[in-house]
Amino acid sequence: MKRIELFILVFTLFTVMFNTSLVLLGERRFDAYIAVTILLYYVFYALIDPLAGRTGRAVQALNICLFLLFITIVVYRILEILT
Amino acid sequence: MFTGVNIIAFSIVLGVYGFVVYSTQLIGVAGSLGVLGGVIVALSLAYGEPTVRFMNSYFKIMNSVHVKILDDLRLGNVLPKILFSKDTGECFFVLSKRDLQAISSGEVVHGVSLLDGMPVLAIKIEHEDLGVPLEHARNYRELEHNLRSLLVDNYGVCAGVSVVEEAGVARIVLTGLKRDLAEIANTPLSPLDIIVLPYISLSLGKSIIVVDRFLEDNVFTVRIKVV
Repeated sequence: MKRIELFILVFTLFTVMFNTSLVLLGERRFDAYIAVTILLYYVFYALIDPLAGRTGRAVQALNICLFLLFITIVVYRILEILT
Repeated sequence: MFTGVNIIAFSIVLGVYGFVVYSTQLIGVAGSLGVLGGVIVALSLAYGEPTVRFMNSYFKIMNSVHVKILDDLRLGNVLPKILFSKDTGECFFVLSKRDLQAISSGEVVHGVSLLDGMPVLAIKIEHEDLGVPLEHARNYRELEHNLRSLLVDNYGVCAGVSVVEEAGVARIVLTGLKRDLAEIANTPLSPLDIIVLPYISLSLGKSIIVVDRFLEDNVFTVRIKVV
């Protein structure tokens, strides 16, 4: 199995598993689902390295977008606690 | 890539439905699926595309040299022929103004040579060079199946293949040709010439002559005569 196929398989399986778990736990904050998925993406990308060290512009753009989205979610939650 | 786009489309629908019924759980799952779809789209764009662009640039640079050499040999506008020797099983991609029947495989050498004062460019191609196992075809229906396996399933260069026989000439149509390949489809010694035509010849076990070929809206048509 190619690395990219392994990555997509593992990432999809874990995303489904975590989403199901969060729904069953009654989690109502929608940003929690997105944040967990982004974290899963970074963890498995680092572990499997689907493009074998290469990165295209599309993946770079995706990494920046997901990082900004994750930071926004975290900042929003921190501000919510502080206020 | 289309899988990723479909997942994103589904996540949008799910997100809208979640918004309508005011379920933050559904919106969360939709957002998560959107990220998953985005990841699949980005990876499919990154996987292989830069290498294709790299090879395309290389081919365009080398092609300017090929065109110059072929013009000097007065073979610039000559359509390719594939010479298949039933005795030896050898296959040659040939560019020459001589009739294919007037050329025997014993006379042809790999590279540029002169036959009766006429230049001949020949490239010896073995089925191992094509990178896929060779499947023999007894008729055009089997040839169509083999070409689909090679070009759609294996190399992914086009979306569909059809082979139709018209008055002794086989018309091969490649639909949905990849943009990178479409740009260079009509150039001399293009990948379609060097890989597809010898594959047809080896698959049928016969020599072939290209009658004409043209590209229209990412649909590449080549008409060949099997001899």
